[in-house]
Amino acid sequence: MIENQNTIAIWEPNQPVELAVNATSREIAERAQGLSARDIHAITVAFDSQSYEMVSTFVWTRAITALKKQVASLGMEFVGQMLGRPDIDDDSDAATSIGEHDAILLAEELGMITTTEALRLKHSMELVGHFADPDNANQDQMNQEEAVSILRSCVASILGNPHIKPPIQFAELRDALESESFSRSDDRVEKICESPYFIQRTVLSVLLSMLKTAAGAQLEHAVGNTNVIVPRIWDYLRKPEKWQVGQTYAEVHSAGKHSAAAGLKNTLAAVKGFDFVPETLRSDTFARAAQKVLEAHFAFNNFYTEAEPIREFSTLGTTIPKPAFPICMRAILCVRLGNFYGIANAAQSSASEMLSALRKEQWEYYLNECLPSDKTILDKLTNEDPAQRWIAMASEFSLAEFRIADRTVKALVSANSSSTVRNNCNRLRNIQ
Amino acid sequence: MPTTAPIIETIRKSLIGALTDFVNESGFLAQINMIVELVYELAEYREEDIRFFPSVYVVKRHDDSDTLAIIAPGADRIGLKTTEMIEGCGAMILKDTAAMADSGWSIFVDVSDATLRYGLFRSEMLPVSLSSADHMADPDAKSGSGILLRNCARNCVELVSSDGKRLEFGLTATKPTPNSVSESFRKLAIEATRSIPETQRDQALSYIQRLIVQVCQQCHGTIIAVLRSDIQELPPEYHDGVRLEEPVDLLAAFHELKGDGTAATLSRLLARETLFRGMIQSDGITILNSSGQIMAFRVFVKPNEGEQGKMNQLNIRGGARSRAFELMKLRLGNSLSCVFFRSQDGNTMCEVKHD
Repeated sequence: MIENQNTIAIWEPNQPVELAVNATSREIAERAQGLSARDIHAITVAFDSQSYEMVSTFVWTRAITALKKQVASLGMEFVGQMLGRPDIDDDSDAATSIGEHDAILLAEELGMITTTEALRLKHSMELVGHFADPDNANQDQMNQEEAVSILRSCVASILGNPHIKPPIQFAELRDALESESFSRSDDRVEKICESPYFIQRTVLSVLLSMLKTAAGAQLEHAVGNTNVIVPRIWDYLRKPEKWQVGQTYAEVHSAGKHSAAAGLKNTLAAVKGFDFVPETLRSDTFARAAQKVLEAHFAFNNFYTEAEPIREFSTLGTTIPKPAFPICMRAILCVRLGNFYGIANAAQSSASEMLSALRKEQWEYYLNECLPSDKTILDKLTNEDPAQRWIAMASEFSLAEFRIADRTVKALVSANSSSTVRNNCNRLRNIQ
Repeated sequence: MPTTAPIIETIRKSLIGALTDFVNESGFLAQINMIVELVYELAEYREEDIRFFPSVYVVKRHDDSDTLAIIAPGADRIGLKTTEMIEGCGAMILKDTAAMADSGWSIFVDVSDATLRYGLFRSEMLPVSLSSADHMADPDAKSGSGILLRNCARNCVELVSSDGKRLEFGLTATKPTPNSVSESFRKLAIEATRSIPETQRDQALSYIQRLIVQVCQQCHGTIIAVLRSDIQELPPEYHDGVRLEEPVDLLAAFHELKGDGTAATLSRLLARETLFRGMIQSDGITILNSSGQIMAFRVFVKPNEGEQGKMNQLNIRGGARSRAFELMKLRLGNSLSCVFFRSQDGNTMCEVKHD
């Protein structure tokens, strides 16, 4: 919370709406302030007529649209930065540009929902996606418990609170970063340094986003704040974030943004960070290709639609520029690990080909620097089948033989049971 | 009859003497022999009788940082060779690279280690990008550790160190004049962008300067004049030429590219540059306004009676272009704010007057 004008406190996630453990679908629906009385009535009727797939899809669509809208209130350019999506800018449409999975991840990062609710929402997303496929819907039927769990999680975390927003502290800090120049002794700088990693990463994303897009006084503040804050947190940043700083320097340089380039040059000089400046701007090409794979993976019918984007992605080769490496590995592993319901068979050969071509240093970079903060993959590994596939993959590529600094990651690649995989993933998630 | 062996001298010793201070202050004394060779070669570099104008960046790691990452972040690099620092390596480097060091490519020579590694890199990614030369020329910027060497006129090589210090070195027997070639280009670019809004001016100036330098390298001599900022129409004394119905607006295309960065806007800008290049290569004077627009080309001027009288008093040497330049100088402050002259042999001057 904001203590006074010049201090910030670490923001806490919004708490979900409390719902009784044995609440009925009607009782849960009635708590959905984000829905009209007519919608609530329609939901109740659908439950009574056992149209579980239909009602779940309806509720899910309403909830995820509301969540995307709130995430977008931070500015789409910023959303693009947070997601590592260079294709998203302020003119992008939130509903079509932000994937459902990305919206949930971002809402969790920003404290709009709790980690537990985020997990529940991701599970709901997979359930709805699975039953939206006519092949699955013809074979199996969604049962009442599954439909109620989707309704419960949507209402508890999103629809029960129509004003779900990024925490006010975050919005205020973001405003301050572009409207004031912090001094080195500013309390807010101290607080940022003491904050959990995801807050530091978020602040860094905000600053880099402003350096790319702001002008005039806003840009001057962004340059000044970058020079004050980044050197303070540099030693704690992981390499993917350091590469983002170098990538931004290359981008503003290429775009001819003199002030931003000069400011970042000073920052990089102060931290001796020029080794994180990429030797190519091809990162965008790789990031876009990987993003298409992820979009297919998290969309309906993914088992049929993943093959084409991963095949196209594989044609780019495995000389992946460092700034794009985390999202590229996430995309390949999503295909390889699949989800609760299985894998896209036609996409496996491309994914395996890419994994086989990775060099030892690339695996070590991923395991040491990227995996610990890759929530998408960590979430996936809390499910039984993806965890089993992880164990098989770790064995195939002898991941346990690589040099891994973190004990939990080491345990994760050496695990021989899905429960060990799950426990270590949860441990890593809690460190975030 | 006994003969005395002749004393054999080359220009090498003199070159080393002239460049030592600059090279030493830039931190590259250990590489002075190679730098001297490069300066000598760049003064009039030819392959198969075709002239080339490569820019060479001699760099080394600075404060544990890769200098190329500082001055050319994200730029493609093509390493070609690693070799010992031997006599003749300057000429060898140019032989391997100069023909390709064009259209945004420059040569790097990395001397961070005992050996030297050289190749090519993109010193200018897009027309809107900051160039590596911009980094080097900015005295306030921390631009690593390096020296840029490039030809700026026939028998003249410019050296720029990463702390912004500059040296123009002429391999001629004439006395040094206060007319710096690079300053002449800069003065012209300043006048050609004087009416551009302040927030956009620095970038526009840098772009126009780069473009004019490139265009002048290929031309056989030219005169470029800039109209005073309060003059919108082409004055009648410049009507003997090709007056453009619509001015060709280089900077509008530049800002379009900066705004949307698409292939279409890049193509439009490059197309306008091609027109500009052709105009400069035409005979006669090219006239710009202070917003960087091309108003006319192939313009020929004649002195009026008063001007003829003044011209007669001046002891003007040279051909028609030199005479036209002297006439245009007389008109500075009236309709013109700037006149730039480049002779076929690379003599470069720029005069500015605002009254």
